Amino acid sequence: MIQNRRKFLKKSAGLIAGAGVVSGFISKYATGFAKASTEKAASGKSIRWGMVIDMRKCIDGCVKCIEVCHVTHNVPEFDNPKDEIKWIWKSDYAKVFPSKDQQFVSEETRQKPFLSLCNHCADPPCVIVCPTGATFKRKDGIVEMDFHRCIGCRFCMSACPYGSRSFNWRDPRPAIENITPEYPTREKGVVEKCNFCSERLAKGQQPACVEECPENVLTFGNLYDKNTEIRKILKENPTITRKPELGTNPSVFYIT
Amino acid sequence: MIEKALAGNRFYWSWITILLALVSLGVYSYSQQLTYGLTVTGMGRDISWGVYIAQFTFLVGVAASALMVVLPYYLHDYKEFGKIVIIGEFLAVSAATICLLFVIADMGHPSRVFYVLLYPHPKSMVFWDVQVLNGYLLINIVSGWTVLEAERKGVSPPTWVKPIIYLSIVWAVSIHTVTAFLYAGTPGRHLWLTAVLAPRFLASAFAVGPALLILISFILRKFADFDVGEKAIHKLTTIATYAGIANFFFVGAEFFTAFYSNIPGHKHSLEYLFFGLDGKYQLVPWMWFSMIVGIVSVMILLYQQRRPSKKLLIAACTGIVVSLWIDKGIGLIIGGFVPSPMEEVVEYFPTFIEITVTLGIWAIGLLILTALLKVAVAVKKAT
Amino acid sequence: MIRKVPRGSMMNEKPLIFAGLAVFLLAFSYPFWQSTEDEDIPQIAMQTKGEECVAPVEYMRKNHMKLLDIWRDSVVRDGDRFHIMPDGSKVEKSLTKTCLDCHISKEKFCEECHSFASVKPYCWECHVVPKIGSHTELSGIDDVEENKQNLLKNLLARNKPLAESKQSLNKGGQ
Repeated sequence: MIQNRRKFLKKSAGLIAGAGVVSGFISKYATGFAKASTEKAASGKSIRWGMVIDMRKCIDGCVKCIEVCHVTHNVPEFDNPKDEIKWIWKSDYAKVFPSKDQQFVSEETRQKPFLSLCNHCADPPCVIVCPTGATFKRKDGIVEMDFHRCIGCRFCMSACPYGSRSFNWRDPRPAIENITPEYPTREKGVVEKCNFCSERLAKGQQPACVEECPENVLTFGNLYDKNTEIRKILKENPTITRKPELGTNPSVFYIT
Repeated sequence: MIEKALAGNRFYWSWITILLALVSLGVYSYSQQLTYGLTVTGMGRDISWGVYIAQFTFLVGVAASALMVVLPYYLHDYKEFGKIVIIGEFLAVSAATICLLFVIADMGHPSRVFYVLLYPHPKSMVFWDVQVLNGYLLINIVSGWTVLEAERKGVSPPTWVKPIIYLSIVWAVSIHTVTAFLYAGTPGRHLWLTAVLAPRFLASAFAVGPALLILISFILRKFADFDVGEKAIHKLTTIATYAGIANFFFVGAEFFTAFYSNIPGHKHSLEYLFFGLDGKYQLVPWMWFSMIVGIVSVMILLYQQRRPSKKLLIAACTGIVVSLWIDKGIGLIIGGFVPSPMEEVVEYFPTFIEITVTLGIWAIGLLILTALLKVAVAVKKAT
Repeated sequence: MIRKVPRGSMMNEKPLIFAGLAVFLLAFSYPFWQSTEDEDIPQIAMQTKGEECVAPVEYMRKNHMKLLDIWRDSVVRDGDRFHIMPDGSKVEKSLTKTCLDCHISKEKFCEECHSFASVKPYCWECHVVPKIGSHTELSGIDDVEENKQNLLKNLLARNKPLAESKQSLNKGGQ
């Protein structure tokens, strides 16, 4: 009963606030410009999962993290690039960071393969556009997909400024080489993306890509906890995020 | 009243048969899409919306344009629109209906369409778009039908319908504004991320709608022996002219901001559409054709004020519709996805299945429009 | 030109219309008020491993679909993954890991009844039946190792190492 009432209150409050644009303004002003909850005090939450990718250590030609991710989550392999689905992949530096200065930069730097995945933004544009709440931000900062609720409108794909989302244009099962039974496959007509291995975190494990990387390129941890390894790295190294000018506040940081 | 749509000559029934054939082809293609998924379309990971959403955007404009006859007739008491106002409202009904059909055709999981109401998410513009489009459809069918029925009975329409008609005026603006907000709120899609998008949508809608109404008037004059009146056509011409000018003014403003500020993101989509990017220029001829035909048509319309000519008027109205259909129905949606967020230029080619589904949905719209206009004309002629 | 409908004719049709409607409604609602005899329902072979179900059997018979619905929302949306058993122990809120761990045969436990009731839940479009059942047949694996090699090859081709793309760049330049 109480649960239901709370849900009802939540929904009706949402409806009222949703006098559209107004609600957007309120939340923007409440958190203050650009600062957008970088400390737990601002958000009242204690966990915000994040990742640092140290590209200095990443080996050219190694795809271990991609392989383990795609096997763990039953990501299909399609020949046609139109149908492609990817959770984590390598792309040229210039493509991952298009707004970075490209003047007088060598071709080698421009084409250096960079890891690209969902940024699990603190202010995710994909979440506000979703009409059914199929994609939503969890309390621990993970931007999660509820495949049961996705209607396949692909608005989130239009809204994501990082191209991190893929759509199941066709039935994925025939294109999965070995199905991992512990994780569901998807059906045609829903959107999917990296979930920071939320199913592994629940068991106290690190994300599969972090665990698999032989060079410790990836560091995963709680950004709201000052004593974590990830905060130490962020403090000691200059890092960048993708398209910071858009105000999405990514939780994935890069050391170049 | 609806029985009036079931009486017609041979020509009428041939037209209905053609439309029904197109609908069945569309239904067949859609069944393929349901079975195999949206992979049967030309859409893909980078260009994830295509002709369906483009048609939807264009048609929301057509639906909203009923405002341009309802407003002068009911609010300003412009009596010359007495015969055309119902045509405008019924055009809005058929356009709004197929808007919704295009949205469903584009969905990956159409069986979950009611999740939009079951799990409402008011921060999403889609939520509001579904509300306003359905509301607008209802408002127009109720007000149009009630007024027409009263006319048939030779009585004045019930008083409750007036507030609904006034509501439809505000509502028309809202449907196209909310539709523009679908696009104008997405970070990282520079072609869409512009405050001028909603005004531009309205301007192009108010040019296309009256142009379509003029064309429909000529068709009715020829095939149904029904005349909406010279003065009404003349007024519609004026509306289409200035709305067209406003539209191209907004397009010019977009160009200025992008190229004078010289910000790469703002320029890229326009460069792709009008000049080609990374050696890819699939849409360049389309966009120039649209631009030139559109501007020339507006100029002809302007000239109509001084020296009217039926032939030129028909040509110019057709020009406006085709030009703005390309601009809004293809360029704006595809252009928004190029380049992709990872600065890749990918091109999009609609497939046979996609095109036949699109034609089928258009045919459903034309069927509804034909039937409704048949009723309207029969009633109007009888009174 | 207003067509005059004689008042009488409409009145005469009324009983007919309502009678027709009543017949239609009766026929339409037949499955709802027609109660099925108990012996028609297939007796589910339980094959249970554990002692106790997550909820009383009577409740589960009628409401298992609601429970699964609540479970999936609480796992996916609230991250609440555990169900407290009547005896206080914890089990995962999972159809594949918990339900089918006791009721080991999906064919007997799920399908027999579902086909009788002619309902088609879409759980297995995505979720994979554990151990026995259609899982192995589904993935059609003969050579796991070979498939792994294929995947690696595909990924390497797609995520080209720098050295290779540099080569192709140089070739393009010549």
